[in-house]
Amino acid sequence: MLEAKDLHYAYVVDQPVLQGVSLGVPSNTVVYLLGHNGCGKTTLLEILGGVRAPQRGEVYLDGANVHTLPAHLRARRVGLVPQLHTPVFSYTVRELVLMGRTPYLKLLGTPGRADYEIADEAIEQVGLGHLRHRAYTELSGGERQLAMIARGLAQQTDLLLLDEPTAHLDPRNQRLVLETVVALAERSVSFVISSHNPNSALLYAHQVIVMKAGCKVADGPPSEVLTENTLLEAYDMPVEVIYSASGQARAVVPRRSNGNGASGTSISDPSEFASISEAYPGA
Amino acid sequence: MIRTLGQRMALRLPFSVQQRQRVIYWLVLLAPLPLALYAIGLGRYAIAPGEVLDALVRFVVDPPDAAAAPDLVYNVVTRIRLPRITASLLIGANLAVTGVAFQGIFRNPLVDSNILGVTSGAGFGAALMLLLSAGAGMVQLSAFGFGLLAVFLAYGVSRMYYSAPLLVLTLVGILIGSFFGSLTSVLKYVADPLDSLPAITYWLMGSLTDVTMADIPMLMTISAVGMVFMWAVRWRLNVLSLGDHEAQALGLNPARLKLMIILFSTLMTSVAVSVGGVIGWVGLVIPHAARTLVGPDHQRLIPATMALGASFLLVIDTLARTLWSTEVPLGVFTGLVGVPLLLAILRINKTGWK
Amino acid sequence: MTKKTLLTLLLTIALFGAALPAGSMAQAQDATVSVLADDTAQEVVDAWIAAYGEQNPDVAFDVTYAPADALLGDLSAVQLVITRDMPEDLPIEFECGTIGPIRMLLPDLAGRFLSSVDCDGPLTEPAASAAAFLEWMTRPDGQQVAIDLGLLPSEVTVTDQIGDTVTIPQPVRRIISAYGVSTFFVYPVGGEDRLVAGTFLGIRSDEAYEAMTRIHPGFPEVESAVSTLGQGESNLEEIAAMHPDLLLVSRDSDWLSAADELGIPILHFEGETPEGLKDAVALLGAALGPDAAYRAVQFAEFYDEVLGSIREQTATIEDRTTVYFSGTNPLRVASGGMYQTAMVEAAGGVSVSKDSPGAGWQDVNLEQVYNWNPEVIFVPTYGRATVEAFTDDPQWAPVQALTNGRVIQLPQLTGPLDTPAPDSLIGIIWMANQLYPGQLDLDCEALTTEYYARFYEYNIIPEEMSLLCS
Repeated sequence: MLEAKDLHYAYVVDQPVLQGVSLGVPSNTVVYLLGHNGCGKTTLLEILGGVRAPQRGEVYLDGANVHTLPAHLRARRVGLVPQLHTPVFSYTVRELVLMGRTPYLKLLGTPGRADYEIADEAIEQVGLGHLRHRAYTELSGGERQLAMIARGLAQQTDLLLLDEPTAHLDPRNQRLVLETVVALAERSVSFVISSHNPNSALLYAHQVIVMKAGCKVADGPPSEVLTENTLLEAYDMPVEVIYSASGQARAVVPRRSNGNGASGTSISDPSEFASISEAYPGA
Repeated sequence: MIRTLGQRMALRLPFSVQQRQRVIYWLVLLAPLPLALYAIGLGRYAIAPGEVLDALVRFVVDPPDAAAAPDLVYNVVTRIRLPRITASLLIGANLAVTGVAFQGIFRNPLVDSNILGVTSGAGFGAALMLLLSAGAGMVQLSAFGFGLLAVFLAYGVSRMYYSAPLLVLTLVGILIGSFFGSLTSVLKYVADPLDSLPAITYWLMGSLTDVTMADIPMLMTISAVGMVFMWAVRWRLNVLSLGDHEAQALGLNPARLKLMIILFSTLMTSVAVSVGGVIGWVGLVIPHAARTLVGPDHQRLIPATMALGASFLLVIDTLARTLWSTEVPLGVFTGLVGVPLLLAILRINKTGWK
Repeated sequence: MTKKTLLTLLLTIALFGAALPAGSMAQAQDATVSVLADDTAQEVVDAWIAAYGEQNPDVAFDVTYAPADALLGDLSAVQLVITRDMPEDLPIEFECGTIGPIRMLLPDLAGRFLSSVDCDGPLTEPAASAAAFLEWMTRPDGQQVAIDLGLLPSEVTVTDQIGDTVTIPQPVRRIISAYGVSTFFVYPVGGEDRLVAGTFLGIRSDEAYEAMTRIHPGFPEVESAVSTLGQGESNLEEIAAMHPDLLLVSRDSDWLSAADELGIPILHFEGETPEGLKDAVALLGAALGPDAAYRAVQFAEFYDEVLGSIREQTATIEDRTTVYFSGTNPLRVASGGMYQTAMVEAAGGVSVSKDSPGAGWQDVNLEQVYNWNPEVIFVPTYGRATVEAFTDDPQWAPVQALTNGRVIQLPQLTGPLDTPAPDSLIGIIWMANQLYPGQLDLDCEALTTEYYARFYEYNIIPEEMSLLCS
């Protein structure tokens, strides 16, 4: 569905942030975008979302070039949900989600009844129905993130790009957000989620793309991509992957340095593994 | 927990929040009309309400021709009070709604339309013509023109820096405003203290004393065009206030939209200043008051701000012209009334901003 | 030729030769100033004559001292009489001649000059020298002589109009006035020769400039001596460079704290009322010497006379004329505390805005003007104020003053007549005649002529008169 070819971008000349990145995202997929700080994840998302134009390369959504589409048409096909930001005015959740309907409004129009209904439905979908008329500024971090996702949903796009949607959330809220995402992916929308959390990717992603210094270094299902070698290369940090008894990768933990370098607190005893699963319900 | 006056009041009365808010909204929207009718009956020259109504009816239905013998009551009502009331309504609405628009696009509740220097530029333009002993028409035209020039300069200069457009625009706007303010000070310094200096000072303090019917057509046309535009983009202001990136992500062209809003706001502010001089506070206080009353959604905020601004300036101008035998400059009342109003609003609205 | 004829010829020549010097001596006799002075003043008069003689060697004096009661006898051959107790009318009459005004040489010594032959034209000798000498005695050089003899104080202490006590060393030779109104105070007290730099309020047009030059030939130089003089700003260095003995300023001048550093005596003026005006003139008079102080008293008396006359004559008028005194544009009016309102009331009128709040010029709206419905509108001569601004505006037509055609602009010869300066007296006279035309016995021409003669020592010409007494 989404096809990006050879994207290049540099904020400052001679300091490229994206060096020839190409990728593809099929429908009904949750894609995780991993990489170290400054590897170009946010820039990539902005380019994929049509908000920033690449200096070289193209992005196609179902065959249409995202950057040549008129803005409102593009916004009906791909949505970009940014990291949490501080709002200036205290709109209600409903008003905020309603803003997702902007691409569908006529030139001087305002939202109509149908738009309100779609917005309300999106709010229900993320489980915020009871907070509809609350001011956005009064919500918790997780609720706000859900509200932003609801706005993205109200856009009724085929693709939603989420920039670090769980960065400030506690584990419970993280789970809430990501479970919703997966459920929605099964139904209609594809997601590209940028994240610092390989564990999340293990749990929720259908596809993982790893970036390093502006280049794509891995792209594939989590079991193939999330190996110790790949992660070592991507984050420049030794990690250990914990496998379940059936051989499925279940967790990624960093290797701590303790002088002799080797073992650290890696867990290879299945019984210890069980207590971790208690700490994080649903993990 | 409390966001608007409507919610607050709903706690004490049996109506729902929605109903209460709707009532408040419509009260605000319709307030200017009865206020204007009341105000036209007030003035230093005592006229009975019946005669006022007669004069108004005659004005609309069967105006006498210019050659007819002057009827003092008719003249006072239609040629002194009516233009003045109309001007105060229009100017109040102009200044208030441009304040709201700028607060939206600058994402800053502490700005008004002078953030880009239009009022300072207009003040300079007027002072220049007053120094050169030009007629009232030239003064107005010059005020209008220099107001536009100031914003043009601010926008143009800020476009040369791409890194942080909003911040740069704010800074450059403040600089241009200061620049024209300094130029105006120079003019005041060289002005003749018996002659142009009092004229300049008086003009800069803001007053509707000299408003005549001749001033109304241009004011009305530009205000109407501007207000229709603002009303048309009311939804888009909601989206713009989220920030450029998000607005873009939602399918808008923020740069072009902001430019148009700045253009229309500047036209509206320029014409307002050219007729009424420098009237402060309205663009800053009224948007806040309106937000407290009807909430931040610009679908309601834009019309409410226009109505509230119109009512505010009408009340202030009526006080200025009826309280004592001599006129009090508008700047006295906008400050005296505006400051307590803003402080009270900040108290009510404690949880409104972040 | 016979011996007899030669002898006769020689004798004739000798006689003529003797007669010539006698004749020229008789001529010289005619240029001698004859002074009759009180014998108690001998010391100072001798000192004056000696000092004057040093500066003017070709003037000869013939002084006679007599006791007081014998002074006013035969004055026919005298050019200068100096007494302790000078009467207003001297016991002498001329068919064609001048008796000069009283000049105070000391607080208790007065002088006057007499000329028996010059009625209208310039003075001939010796009257001219006598007049010059008399003036000299009242001026700094003469004052210095008296100071040296201990008859005049070497410094004078006064309280200025903001309550400061100021000590002024005498005599004051150089005055700088940095306040456009106080400059005009210098003239009634006879100090214009000592004015070295000054700013003059409201002398703008070429006509005003020329008129002032006629009145005071030194005016152009005085006016331009210091590049910046005024309430807002004055060039202190230039002021210091002119070495003034006295600085006249207004209460509100912004640069005064720096001026204190100059060590020059400073007099602050703030006279926005008729009383204040008289006090201001008296203050300056006290600072400049006994004759100046005397002239200040004369001014105050003249002022009071005129105002008293107007007050008496208008006392019986029940229906006082209401007046709107406008400012730089029609909708600005003078507030109650301003000098313009005091002038209107002194002229017997009632100012419609006298109860309006605020100081200074106030804005009004037309409704209020309709309410007041003034009978007369006075338009000042500065700013953009014109009569047409009223008559061309149809909104003003219903007002009484317009329907009666009584929108009148004040006259102006030199400065504007509605500022708290001495010339405002002419303004008040003019106003009274405008408010009650033909009803008052107030001869504008006579009073104006007297005013300019006594307080500017200037004979006003018909063109100027017609400006002021239209």
